[in-house]
Amino acid sequence: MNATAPSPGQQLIRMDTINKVFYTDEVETHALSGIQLEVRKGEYVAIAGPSGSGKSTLLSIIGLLDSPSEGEYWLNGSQVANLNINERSRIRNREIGFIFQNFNLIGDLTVYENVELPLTYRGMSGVERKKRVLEALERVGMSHRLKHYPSQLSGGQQQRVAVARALGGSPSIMLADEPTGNLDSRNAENIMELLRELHREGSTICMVTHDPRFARHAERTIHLFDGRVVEETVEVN
Amino acid sequence: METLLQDIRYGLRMLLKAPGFTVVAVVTLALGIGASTAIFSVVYGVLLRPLAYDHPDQIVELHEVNPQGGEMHFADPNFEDIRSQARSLQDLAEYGAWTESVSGGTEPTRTIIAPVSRDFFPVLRVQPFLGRSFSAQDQRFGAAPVALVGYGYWKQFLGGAADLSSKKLAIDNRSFSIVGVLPPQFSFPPQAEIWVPRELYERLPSRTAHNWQLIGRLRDGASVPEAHAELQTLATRLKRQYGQDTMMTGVAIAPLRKAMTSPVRPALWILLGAVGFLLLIACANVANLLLVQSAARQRELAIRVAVGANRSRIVRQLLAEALLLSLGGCAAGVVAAVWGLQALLALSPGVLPRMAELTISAPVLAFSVGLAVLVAVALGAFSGLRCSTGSVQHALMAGGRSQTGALISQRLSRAIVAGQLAITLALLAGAALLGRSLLRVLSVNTGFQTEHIITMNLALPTVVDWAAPGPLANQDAAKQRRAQFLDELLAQVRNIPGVQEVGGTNVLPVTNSAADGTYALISPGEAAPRDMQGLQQMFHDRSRTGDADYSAVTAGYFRVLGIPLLRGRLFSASDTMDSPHVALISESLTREKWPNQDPLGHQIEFGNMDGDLRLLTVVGVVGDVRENNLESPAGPTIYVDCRQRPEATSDFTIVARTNADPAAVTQAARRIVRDLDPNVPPRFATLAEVVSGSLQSRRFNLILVGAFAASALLLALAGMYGVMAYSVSRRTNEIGVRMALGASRMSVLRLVLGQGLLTAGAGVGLGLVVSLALTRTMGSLLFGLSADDPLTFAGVALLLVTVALLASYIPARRASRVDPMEALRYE
Repeated sequence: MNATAPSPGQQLIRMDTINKVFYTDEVETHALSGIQLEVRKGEYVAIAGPSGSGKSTLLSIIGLLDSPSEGEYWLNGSQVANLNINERSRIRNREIGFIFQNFNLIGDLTVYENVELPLTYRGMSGVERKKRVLEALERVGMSHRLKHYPSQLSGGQQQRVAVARALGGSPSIMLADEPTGNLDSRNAENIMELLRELHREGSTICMVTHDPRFARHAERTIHLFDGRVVEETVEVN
Repeated sequence: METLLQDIRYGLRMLLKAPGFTVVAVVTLALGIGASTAIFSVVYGVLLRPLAYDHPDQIVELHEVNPQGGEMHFADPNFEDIRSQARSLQDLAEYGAWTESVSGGTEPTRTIIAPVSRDFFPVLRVQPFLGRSFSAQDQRFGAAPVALVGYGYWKQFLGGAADLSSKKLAIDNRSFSIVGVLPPQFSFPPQAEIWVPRELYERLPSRTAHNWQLIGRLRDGASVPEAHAELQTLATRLKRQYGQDTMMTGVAIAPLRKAMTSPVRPALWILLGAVGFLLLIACANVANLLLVQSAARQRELAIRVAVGANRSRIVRQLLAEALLLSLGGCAAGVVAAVWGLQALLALSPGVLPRMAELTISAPVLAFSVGLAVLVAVALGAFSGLRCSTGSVQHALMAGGRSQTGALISQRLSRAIVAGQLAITLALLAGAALLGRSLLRVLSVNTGFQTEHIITMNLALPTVVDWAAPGPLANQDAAKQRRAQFLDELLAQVRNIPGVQEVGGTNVLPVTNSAADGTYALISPGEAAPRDMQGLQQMFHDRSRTGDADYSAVTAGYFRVLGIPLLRGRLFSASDTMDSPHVALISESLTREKWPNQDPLGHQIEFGNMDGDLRLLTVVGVVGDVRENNLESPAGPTIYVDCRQRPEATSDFTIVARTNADPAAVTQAARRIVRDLDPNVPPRFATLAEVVSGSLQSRRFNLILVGAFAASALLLALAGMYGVMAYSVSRRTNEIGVRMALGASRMSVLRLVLGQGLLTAGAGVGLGLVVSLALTRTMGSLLFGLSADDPLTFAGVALLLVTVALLASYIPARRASRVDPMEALRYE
């Protein structure tokens, strides 16, 4: 049933009055207005809304790919709204794992190298990297395809590799942007099941979706419309 | 280090994955880096590389400076005074260089011999590698002649014999004992192969007989400016002391390396600048390729950023790729430079000093690698800046297609192409100015004909008999023998089938070898001076003197070269050594000294040129001839009859007009000379080749700048085409919409061509400003037109706009044939 109370746990993300305005020529577009958001550790949150409601913009700001025009954003207790580009890269690398709708694997890298990529930016030793990559691929059931290139995999398999890449760095939160958008229904179900399993094992997940069937996998759904939070619902299992 | 290797490994993989892009980029960079390396190897070898002597910066070259500021060779007494009084110089030496016929080796040769005075080898600190140097006994007038030979001559013509005691060379009717062999690579004066003591030649007491070049070595700790100040003081003192007897009012001093290379210095720096422009254009093309590639790689780089790569990591990755490309270009460029240098050397025989030292040496390689790294940093930074300006989330969410980024990229591409066109225009303008200068030089009125004329140059012994007693200048018997030899030679050549006319001269026109000197006009009834001192006295009255070129010729010389007789007569058989000596003068001398008068019958004293003080009576006036080079206007010339005055005929050239096969005439003439004197090997050339050879340096500059300009034009054309084609491919959807909304094919064609015209216009506008500023540095290389010649600039601007429009036409045509239905489905 629907409710407005947040889940219990330690606070991971807190957003206070986040606004995002885009300027193109003389047109001013308010993509997000007065967003208040809190995500606790171990939570599985869905951000839902129709096309153009600001879901992806919000996810970009949460993932430090973009910064808000106004407002406060705390991640793991640190203010991150106005960091410089290198600081944002560093935090993104350590705290955030991305899963995109179109997988965004690098076609010229093997499965192993794709998963290893964020770890190389962390300056981790080769031995440690290998251990983590193999563990992550094992968790998503892709450890048998280490030497394959993305083009040699199905969509579902590519998305599993993308999940493994997000997992490998042991991020504080995984951000999934329409992770099933490019998959058939069977593969979509498998990915959703994988995310649920990761959540059960303790991962914090924030997923953007416009499909209510998938939003129901989350514990809590934040509904956006015209750049504003219009409703929050809690899924009771 | 591990991550660096990872970047390089990944970069290599990226380049191999796009072989088309990689090959084009590497070849383009190889062109720029290779051409730059080849030209730098010349600049380094000629201008920058230290001379291969001990403390080479201490070695200086000196010239007398006359009141007009002109530099002259030294006269013996002035040299001796400077040598004995200058404290800033530890050694000072006279030297000369000329071609002689040399026999005694395996075959007779025409060889450059260098008479060098006592301090010559101490100045250069060079010792023979075999045998000994000259001793004090060798270095006095009348001593038994000895010679040192160069390593190459020793190997080639003396069989590399270790025992030199039995080796003798016949030079100038004297037998020289070879006492030593100089080390390999030693070649100073340039191309000299035999060195003899200068003291074997007569010392002339005149302070205006400027016969010798000077080199010196600065004392330890002394600088060139300090030495110059001291020498200037000495020159002033000598001028005060000797007044009109010396023309020296100052002394010019310059490091030997600089002095040796000063004639080619401006041209080489201009060539280096031109090739630098070519490299810039090549880099711009690669930058444009990278821009197109970066659009394709936007998504990949965005993913890297999303998973935590900071800007420096991305830039490092791109730098690694640029470095691989650039080093690939460098490797291919160095190979191309080796060929290029060989081509340059083949193009420039005699144009460049220190040619034997030109090679792709370690410093040249370091330059090339440094250039490659610089190019890599520039391209890597460019790519890095471009990539970091893109929007990451757009690239990720929209699957790697950002319209804003594409628009910025296209604008940047067009700006780069405009820059390329601007630089190309500067190079084209430079090449066009040089080309038009050459055409102007070729169209000057030389005053003589060149067609169907064969020349045969002979290095004959000096007329004087060294063994005869008494003053060397007064040896009429020796002169008679030379006159008879020349008569015999000319008669036999005239008898060769097909030879229509024959003549002879001690100096061919436009070979920069005309000797000039001061003459004096003689009043009616005035006697000739009794000696050289009397002649010097005559020169004190400046109202009766003038300067003219001196030429000893036969009458046939004028007929062969078609030099018109304007008044009086040519030399005739009645002009013998014992009859009154006669002269022909050039039209310009008539204008200068006898305006509106008849010069015939007037008398001239010109004995300081050949030591014969008998007066010359003017018997004819001939047309002006460009004696020194095609660029300098014809100056006053006094022609003497070489049968009356054969003193100056040790370097003598027969000229023959013929309609026969030149090879047959040459063969017959060679046989005649061999029969008359087997120890004098002749050198043949057509007069057209001689004239053409005088333009070698000008042609060399034109070919190089022209080649750079043509390469630049091709690269800019490719750049323009690439950018327009890419722009059209990116705008297919937009074009489809336009056509769906009613745009005609012609209006689409106009749209794209207009874009090309705009880019070309910007490039040409910028190029005109840049070119006008840069071509001013070429002033010394131009002839008959100014560095801002409007016709040249208008021509190259028009050419560039036309070529740019042609490059835009194919993409424009493709755009105009877009199927709107297909295009609208395209996105």
